[in-house]
Amino acid sequence: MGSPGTDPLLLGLAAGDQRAFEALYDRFAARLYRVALAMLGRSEDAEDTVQEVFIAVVRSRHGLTEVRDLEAYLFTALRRAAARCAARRSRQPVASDAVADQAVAKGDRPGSSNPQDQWLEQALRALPREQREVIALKIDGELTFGQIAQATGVSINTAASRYRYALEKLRRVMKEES
Amino acid sequence: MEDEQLSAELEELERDLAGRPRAEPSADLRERVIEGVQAELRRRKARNGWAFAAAVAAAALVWINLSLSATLGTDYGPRRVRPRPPVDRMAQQIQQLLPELSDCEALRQAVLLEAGWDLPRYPVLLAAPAALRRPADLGDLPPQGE
Repeated sequence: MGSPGTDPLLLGLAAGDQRAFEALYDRFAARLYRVALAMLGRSEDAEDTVQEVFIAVVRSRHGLTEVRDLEAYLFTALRRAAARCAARRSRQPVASDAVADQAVAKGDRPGSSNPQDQWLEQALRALPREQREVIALKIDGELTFGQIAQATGVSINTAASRYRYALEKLRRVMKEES
Repeated sequence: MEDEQLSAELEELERDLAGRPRAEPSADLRERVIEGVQAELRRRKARNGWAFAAAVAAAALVWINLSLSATLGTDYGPRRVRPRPPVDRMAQQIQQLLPELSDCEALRQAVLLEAGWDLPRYPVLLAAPAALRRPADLGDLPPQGE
């Protein structure tokens, strides 16, 4: 990815070039979808959220040439869109966490015949929202801690600590289960 | 912090997490998103077009307003030509109105009227007569001609 103002993808997006949006989709949509699915728990909500992110990019495309880290920018937009989606679902203005937790607890991820994977999914659903989110951003979104920090509005150290605590808790839960 | 080493146990767990079957968006999501993007781009373009038209209309209105103001404030626009009566007839009419004026004074007033006949209109003072009175501290004006 080039520097702000020179990255051809960013320049194409800023100019409203449809091919640039297609390239953006091909490059990031799957990762955005997986993180949205981990946050919201339902595939239709995750897809709506991804679409909302792309519409938000269209609306703010003129400022994109100033964006330094497109991935962090997209996942920041995704978090906001996911919060709005959860709020819409609950028909309450803010309290999105509880609703998201409920949906995630039901789960809509692809089924796996591997008991280890099923176990992992169950253990993930038992995590607090913030820890689940950092795992989703790191594993499903393939972001660095710097990008996670930017997307979630915390320091890099906090993002990394949250991730470590999440893994430790996951390991603990799995040990207890076994 | 990026390089912080996790324990071997946590690293293994991380690998397990990354190795899970990956959820993929449905096949029609790409088409749906690109259509949404196209529609939004069209909407933005149309909105920009209207904004440009509104700006042009506003600029035109301001230009017309300024032009009218300038035209009405100067005497080089089209003016209504009033017939100019001869000076001696004006002097006669003045004398009929003010018989106490001498012939010479009536003629002088007629010449002055004739001189100002084609001058552009001047703004009308709307202030109350009291407001136009000379402030007391300025005193009397020196007599004309000094």
